[in-house]
Amino acid sequence: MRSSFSCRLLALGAAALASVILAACVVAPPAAEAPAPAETMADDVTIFGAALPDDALPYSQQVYRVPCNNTATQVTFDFAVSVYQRYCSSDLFGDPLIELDKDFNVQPAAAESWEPSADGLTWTVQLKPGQQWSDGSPLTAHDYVATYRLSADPEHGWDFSWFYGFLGPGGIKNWNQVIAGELPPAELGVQAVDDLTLAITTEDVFPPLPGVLKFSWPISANALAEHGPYYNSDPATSVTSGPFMLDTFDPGNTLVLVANPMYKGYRPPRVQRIENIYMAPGTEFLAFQNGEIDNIGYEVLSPADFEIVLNDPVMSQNYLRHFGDFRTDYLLFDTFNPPFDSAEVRKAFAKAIDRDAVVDNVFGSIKAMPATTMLMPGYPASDTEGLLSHYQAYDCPAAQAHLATAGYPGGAGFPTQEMWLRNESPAMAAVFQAVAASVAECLSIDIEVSNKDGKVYMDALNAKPTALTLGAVSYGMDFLDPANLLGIWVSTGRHSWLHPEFDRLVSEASSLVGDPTRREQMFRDAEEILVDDVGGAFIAHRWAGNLVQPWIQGDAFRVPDSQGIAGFHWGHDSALSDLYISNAKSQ
Amino acid sequence: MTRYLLGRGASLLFVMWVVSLVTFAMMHAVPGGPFDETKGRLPPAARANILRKYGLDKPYHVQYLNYMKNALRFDFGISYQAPTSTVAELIVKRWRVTAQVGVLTVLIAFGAGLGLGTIAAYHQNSPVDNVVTFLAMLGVTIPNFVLALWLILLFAVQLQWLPMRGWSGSGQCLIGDAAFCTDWILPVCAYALGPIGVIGRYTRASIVDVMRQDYTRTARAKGVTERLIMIRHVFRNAQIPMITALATEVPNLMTGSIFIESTFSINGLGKYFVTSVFSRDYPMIMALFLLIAFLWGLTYLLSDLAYTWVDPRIRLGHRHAT
Repeated sequence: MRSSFSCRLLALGAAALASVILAACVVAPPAAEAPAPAETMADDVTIFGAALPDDALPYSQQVYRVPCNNTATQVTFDFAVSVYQRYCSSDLFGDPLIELDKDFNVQPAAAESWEPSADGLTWTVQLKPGQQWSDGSPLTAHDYVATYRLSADPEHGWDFSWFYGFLGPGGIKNWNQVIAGELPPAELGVQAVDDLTLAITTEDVFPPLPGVLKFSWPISANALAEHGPYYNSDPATSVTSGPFMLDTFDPGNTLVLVANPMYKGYRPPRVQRIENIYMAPGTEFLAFQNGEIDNIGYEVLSPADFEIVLNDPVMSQNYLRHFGDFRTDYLLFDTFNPPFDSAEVRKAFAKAIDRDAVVDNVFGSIKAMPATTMLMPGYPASDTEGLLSHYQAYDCPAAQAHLATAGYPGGAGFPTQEMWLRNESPAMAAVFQAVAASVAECLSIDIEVSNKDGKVYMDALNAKPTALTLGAVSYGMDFLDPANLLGIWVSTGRHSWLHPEFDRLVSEASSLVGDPTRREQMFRDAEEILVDDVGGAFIAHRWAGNLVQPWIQGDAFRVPDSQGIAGFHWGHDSALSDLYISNAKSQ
Repeated sequence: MTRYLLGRGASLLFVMWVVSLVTFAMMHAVPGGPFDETKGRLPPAARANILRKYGLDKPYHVQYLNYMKNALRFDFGISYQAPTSTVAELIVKRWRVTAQVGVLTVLIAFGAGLGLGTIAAYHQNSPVDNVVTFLAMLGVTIPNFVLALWLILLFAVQLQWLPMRGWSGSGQCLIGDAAFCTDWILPVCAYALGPIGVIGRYTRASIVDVMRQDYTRTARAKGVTERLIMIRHVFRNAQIPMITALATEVPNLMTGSIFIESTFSINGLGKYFVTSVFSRDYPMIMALFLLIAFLWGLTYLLSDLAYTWVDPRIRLGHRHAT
């Protein structure tokens, strides 16, 4: 006998309610427990014995809250394991051998000193004594050796291994053979002379090497051998020689670091706790306005957000604009095939970009400045005087004349171009759309903009021969030397552009020692060739920046550098340790 | 019925096999692999080592057969996005939260949608109907991520009544310290509004249709009360088309939304639908598509069974003689 319809409805409702309650009770995630405040003798002194500034909140309240992108793919804390898929607040579990100060000068970090051999090929790096891991074992040169060997191990397949190969003849000795599996990692040109002495040998003389050592955050040789490369992902196996240690970690949910009481390095922190709060980049500004986080990067701020920031008396004072990684946006061409095998066509494109209008109206002058060169003013060997700007400066009639000379008068017969973007954000896609519109309008040609998946774009870019005819992209420095940002344009790099004289100048200048003036001039000459021959059409240099709460204080980023720029400068790793929470927060 | 269920089970397995085949073919047809360069080129030897480590150096048919052989044992491999976890572990861990959001959303969406649709149908062409129809249209047309940001702006930033992050442990809870919490309210509301609109409109249309039927008029002419007419005749008969149309909402809601989960910082499964494709995380892509295929198949099976429950005249697995 069938039950009545009402009974069925009732049963359905009861079952649904029960399932919700069951789901809620059974699977509810546990709330993150806040650890007990650090025990200190006084609440105005850090666990490292340093007195906090007079305007600081008590040490127990020195908690720094930062956003963490919950849509990003992240797999490790350690640079030597992966560069492009690191968790938030990585690079705090060890100290690199050197760091850059706020004026981008190389400074000792874990290293005490370094000096090249007489032939310039081997750098002897002396570690500061007394540094240790959080398990009490000493930090030694063997840990740095293990770090480099892991990076070069072909079984590991490090996603940044291209970098040391890119250094070419100036790279670490045997790097390319080791990553190719032709030599064992033990043959790498990074050796421990003793516990505190590291010897790094390069294939050729390479003066910028100390700057490259910025990427030397160490991993523990012991933990690596015992637990494998992901030992830092679990608080039970994590071990750190850096200023912070892992407290609680649930990827995508909770990530809390606390000051490492065993730390003996050069950047003891003032904050006792860093809370990484997972959120979508699109909600970071809302969370910031709500006081839930203390610092957000410029890249998550939309033009509308910037309008709010710049019109707010408090936020505008706390937006710290800085050089970032000296990033430049540019157009790249396949110069080996028509139509961009013609320098006249490339010059037409370069001169048809109304950079001022793009920066003022789309990019926003707070985020960028017009660019006619690869090297941003302020970068070593950059064209700070503007002597090269005439090569690519906006000049529509001249652009039209170049196109006519190339055989396309008034744009007639010029094939429709598809400009590829590399998975750009809507804001950056709008910038490149504006660039395409400027070129198309000036030259009376058709350009379609296509925002591609990142892997599809890179597949096409790196294909030999390239499958990318016209693209837009950006590049920021990896180390502060013209050899880096000009080196990507040599013919063995990723761009399909060849100029033998440019290659010669960059190659010779990269390994030139003893004559810095001549070296700089060679790089300047090389860049002149690049902009004159339009290897790329340069669009804008990016200004980076951070919006911080007014209670986030510290001279390292609040006091301007020698160029009058305050902010979190690239490579200035100790700035975080200078940071403290002022009593403005409680007010 | 047993024979029918076995047949449907077999057909579900066949569908999942086809889905796995198509998914595998499509993900390998797309340019770019999981270990292709992001900034510079991975040295060929290193790349070859990684491909060998994950079995990607083998011919496609061998890769597929290996995957399916393991999948039959519920071993879906290691996620390239999280090399310290298996795909199964990740899905189980993340889906728990997603399912919680989904179950609550389904209940609220169906409760509110059915209620509003019924009210609108009963007060057909009246101001009440117009208001409900307007709200339903609003729900259908406003994307949930836009609504989510509005809700955050209003209730979390301006009024500061509710936490802006969901399932974060930052809200006050009705049961214990982690069940029915205030930080569940905004995500569920943002997620439910769209389905409420869809369900409301389907419900209204179905009920209006039944209310125009002869047997409804006959019941009314016989003097049956409106309440009984609605419960015994209208609502009951309107359920068949509603089940057909509305059941499809369930698997959508149960597999999460990257927009809702990322906007409210919910650590669920939704993000993997996007990130696994972008990062060419083949094991995760395959597992997610198999999961979706299973959920859709199961939903259709349950809705077919529901037909027989609400209308005993329907007999599954029987052919009618013509």
